[in-house]
Amino acid sequence: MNNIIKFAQSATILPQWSPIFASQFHTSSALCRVVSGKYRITKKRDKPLTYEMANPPHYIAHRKSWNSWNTSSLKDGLRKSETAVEDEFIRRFITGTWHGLVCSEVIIKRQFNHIRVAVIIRRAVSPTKMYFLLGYSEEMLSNWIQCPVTLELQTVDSYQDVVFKYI
Amino acid sequence: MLSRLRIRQDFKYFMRCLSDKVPEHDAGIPEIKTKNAKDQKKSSDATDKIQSLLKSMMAEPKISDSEYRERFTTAPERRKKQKADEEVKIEKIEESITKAAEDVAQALGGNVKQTEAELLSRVLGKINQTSTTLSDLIVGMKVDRSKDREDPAQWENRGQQVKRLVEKSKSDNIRYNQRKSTNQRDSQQTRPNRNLPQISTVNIFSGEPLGIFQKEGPVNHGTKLEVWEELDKRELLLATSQPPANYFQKMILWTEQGKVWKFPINNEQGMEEEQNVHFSEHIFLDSHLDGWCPTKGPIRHFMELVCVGLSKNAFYTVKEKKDHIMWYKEYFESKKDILQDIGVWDTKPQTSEAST
Amino acid sequence: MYTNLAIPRQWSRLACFCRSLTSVEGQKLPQAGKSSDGISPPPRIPRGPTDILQALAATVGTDPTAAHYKYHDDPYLIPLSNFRKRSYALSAEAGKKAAAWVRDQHPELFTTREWDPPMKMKTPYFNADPHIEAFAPKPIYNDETKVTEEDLVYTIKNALLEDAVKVFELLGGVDNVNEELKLYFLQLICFYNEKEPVSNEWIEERWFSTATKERQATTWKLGGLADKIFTSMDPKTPEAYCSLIKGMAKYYQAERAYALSREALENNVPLSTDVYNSLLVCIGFLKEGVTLRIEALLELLNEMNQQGITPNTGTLTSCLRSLSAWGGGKTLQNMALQIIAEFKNIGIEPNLSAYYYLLCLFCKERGPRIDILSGILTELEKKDTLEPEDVADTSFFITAMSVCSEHLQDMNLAERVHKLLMKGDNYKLVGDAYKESIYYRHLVTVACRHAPFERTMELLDTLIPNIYVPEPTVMEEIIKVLELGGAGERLSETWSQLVVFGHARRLRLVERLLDAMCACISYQDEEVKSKIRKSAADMLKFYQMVEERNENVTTRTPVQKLSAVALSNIIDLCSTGEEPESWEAIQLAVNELGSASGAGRADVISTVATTAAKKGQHALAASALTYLAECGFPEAMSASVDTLSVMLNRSTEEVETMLQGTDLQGKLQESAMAVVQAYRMAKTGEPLRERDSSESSSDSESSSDEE
Repeated sequence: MNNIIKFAQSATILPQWSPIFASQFHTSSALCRVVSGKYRITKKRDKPLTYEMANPPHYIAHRKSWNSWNTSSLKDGLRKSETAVEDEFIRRFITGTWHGLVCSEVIIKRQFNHIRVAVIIRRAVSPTKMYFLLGYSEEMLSNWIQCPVTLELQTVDSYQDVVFKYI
Repeated sequence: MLSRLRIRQDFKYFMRCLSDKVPEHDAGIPEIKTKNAKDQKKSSDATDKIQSLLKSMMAEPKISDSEYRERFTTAPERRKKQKADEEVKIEKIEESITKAAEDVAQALGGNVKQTEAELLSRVLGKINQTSTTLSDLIVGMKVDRSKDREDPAQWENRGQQVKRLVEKSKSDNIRYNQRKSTNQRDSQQTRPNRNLPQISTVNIFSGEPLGIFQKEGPVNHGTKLEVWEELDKRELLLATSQPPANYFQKMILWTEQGKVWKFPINNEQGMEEEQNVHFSEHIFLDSHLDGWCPTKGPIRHFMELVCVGLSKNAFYTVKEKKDHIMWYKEYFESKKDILQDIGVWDTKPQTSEAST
Repeated sequence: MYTNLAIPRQWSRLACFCRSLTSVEGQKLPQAGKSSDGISPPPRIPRGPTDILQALAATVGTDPTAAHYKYHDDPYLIPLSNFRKRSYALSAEAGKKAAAWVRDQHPELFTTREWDPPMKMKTPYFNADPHIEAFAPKPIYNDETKVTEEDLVYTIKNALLEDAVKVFELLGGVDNVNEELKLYFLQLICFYNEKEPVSNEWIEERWFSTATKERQATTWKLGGLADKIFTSMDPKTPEAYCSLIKGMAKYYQAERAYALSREALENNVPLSTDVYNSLLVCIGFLKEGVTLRIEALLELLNEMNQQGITPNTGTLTSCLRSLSAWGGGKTLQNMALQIIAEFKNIGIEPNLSAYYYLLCLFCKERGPRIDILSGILTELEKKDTLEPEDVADTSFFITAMSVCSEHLQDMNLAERVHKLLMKGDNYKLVGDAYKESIYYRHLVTVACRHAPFERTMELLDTLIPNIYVPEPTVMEEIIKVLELGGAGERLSETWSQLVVFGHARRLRLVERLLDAMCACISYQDEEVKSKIRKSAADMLKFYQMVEERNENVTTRTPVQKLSAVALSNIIDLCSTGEEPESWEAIQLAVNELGSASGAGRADVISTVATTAAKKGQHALAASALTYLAECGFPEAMSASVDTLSVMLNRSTEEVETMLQGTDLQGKLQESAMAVVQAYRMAKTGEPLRERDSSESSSDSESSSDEE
């Protein structure tokens, strides 16, 4: 114990003669507050969260799963940045094309050069229109990304159906 | 137990009458017996017995009509005579049938009168008329009834109209009941209806050859039309192609359209022409320097570095690499004068020896 | 100073060595045969990219409980009626078309990669590596396009007829295109008769296009582009002759085709088997009368033989096609058999389309019943696979099934045909959606009429609704079978099926169903009975809803109202139960009766009046009796007496004597009074038409309801 304290004391002196040490040592206490991917509690406790939103990021692979499934994020994976940008593009295209209908995160799964996009859709338009949008977005996306794209839809009656809890 | 036996006997007799009478139209038999079977359907356990009996009777006659005729040459005139005989017989037989029907109806229980009437009407109808299908019989009944009623009904007020309608619906009801009773028959009968004209079977290869074409001989299909054949194939493919019925079929379709990578995944897909090129041609590029590049000196050094760089490039084809080198060749040759002035453009090998 | 090493100079030699090495060890396939250690690896089988997929696909059977794969697997998106199936599939394809249109019109929007900053945009730039042709924008040809002969080759290859014509014109037309390309172009134009074919990209559109049977009429464009190109060609090649003759023959310009073939023969132009095949099809347009036609047919065959041209399966098919088009009759049938025998002699077996024409020839609608199908099936069952050879092949199964159902009426044969269709890859021969539905219509009909009940039910359960949705006529057959089979539970489900399939507004079907229910309900279990009651009550509700909607929106074809018989059937069904819902339904139905067309079933209504009286629903009983009396049913009197006796709790005699009396007013309740009135109305035999009487009765009923 004493040793540690001594070492800590000596560490405070170190920066004076060694700039290298100074850059490698954190001397202030860490701010252990992870904010990203978490939702703030509202006063009235009436903010609806889906299951996906209700679980903070550190529960990925424990309670919930990834939103993008691909091999670029593995070690030595190729086209990391490209995949990320493409996925963002797909997400925006889907939420824009299915305007006001998307009730969940857009899950993007890649296998070889096939992209599967899974999403939960609200039953606010007729099935015929849905089929039109389905064919349209599949074809548009595959023309842009130059690979076959398949949409995998699930429908729910209203937003209420995907609410997991209110905070 | 006794009564059951009784039924059996009655049935046998009953059936024999029928089958004796009209061997050609045995379609009537299943109806009758199913009628009986149906009536007592739920409760009486005699049903099973009767049904099995009926089934055995329903089974195909051991000798088919045609065979029968072949074996026992029956002339048409003679058969007519027989019919006349039959009519005489019918009178006698009718009595016994009536008796038998009554017995059966009693044994079956329920609405005795009705059962009996149904049995009799079927049997007698059968003997007297040649049309044998149930539907024919029923249709006939309905027509008769409406006729009877319509004749006096010239002046109709609403009440009369209603009456007529009511009668009609009643007869409809009867029809249902009869239909109901036929369901058993339907479920047992799997052979084609006999009421329709006899089916004649034709063997497709029974014809006599025309003798126009010879079997042997050179095959000559004449002028070939390439595009036409291609289009023919295309149309045929389109006519038989269907939307994919499962994921794998979709993948096959995509593979054929070239949309999806081919299986097994090969990261050299799309570089098919490179497959025929040996890797050494990619790596050993020095041979392209022979003949124009100085054998030593800064240009040689530079070009060798270019070759090393190109040999490590995985994205160029061999032709592109060669073109790349040739570009330098042209570049240096266009600057030949200056290069010669400063003494670095010297392609002769002796000079290289001299310099060392 | 710089590299003087000797080794680099040897590199080319090294490269040579490497090359020889790899070819020895890397590229050789292992050979079959025993090696020294007794292990013999089998030789490697080279696999195509789809082989594994095909093997996997073959393991996936059809799942009758799921909708077709092209529909999304979600309850909201699964179609259940024919109309929905069609519109969903076509909507998806319309979306794809819209996207393809955007891509073709604005190809510049599809050349960037999403991750590149805008300035880095390069054209053309493709995301995919390797580049995927299928996603590339299609070229658009208009007057400004600069075209080359390559474009013409491209359009011909992809059968883009209109584009090809455009490119041909842009290239300078008849005079400036070289002979070879002109010939290709001529073939394309002759094949399609200058009409754009359906693109092969849009599967659904083709699948659902109700291709009515091609009219056998002369549609060849006389003096069209094809004729122009042909006249411009000099010297005229045999290919040009062949394609023009075939084109004319294909579009039934028979006389010209024949004349051209004579011209070709005179000029010693070698024709081909296909040309003769197409001429054979045309004979019917050249000659009249069966004898003359057969003569001409034999003449052509003889001519083929003289020209030394070998016939093929197509020749056989064409002969039979001609024969089948000339009507029926013994002569033609014998001729067909002779031709088949002739071709069998030279080793040519008939294919599916030949069999199709045979069926057409032998199995005429009103002709004698000839069983040629079982022989054909025996032949076909011997084969492992049925390879499509002719577009008419897709008509075989539908025709065979219709022969089974209408001509031979034989379930066993139908099952054999169905088994053959389901074998291996044969289902592709079913044609398109239209043919498929006709095929199943025939199959279901023959099953309903001639199969055992259990077998029929099994078939229906597998086919309906995902593979096939029955049309109204077939639905009627099914209801008939269910009635005969006494399947009460299924009958009660049939109503919901009718609603789902979109047949609920077809009054005929609904009334048929009600009849069937009435006929069967007496011997059903209590549970089933209540189900039937529920669906009967639901029908009533449905029709009331429809009527309300009719009033609000004027549609072109307003839905008919339930007839009085149907209503009394509903009353009959509902009166078998005790639940308040079914009595509510009865109440509704009785109210409806007055405005319904036709006359109801008096026995049912009088029974229900008595039962209602017993249950204390006097108003209901009264209105039922009023209806009876108004219609002048003779049952009205006795029923009124019975009902009154129940209402007043007296014997029938007492009631009758009471009715003899004149002054009953005020002594009885209103509803009982209504019954008395009904009795009198029935007795006098004069149907009272005045509205006030019926109104008063309805008034009384409402007031008694409140009591």
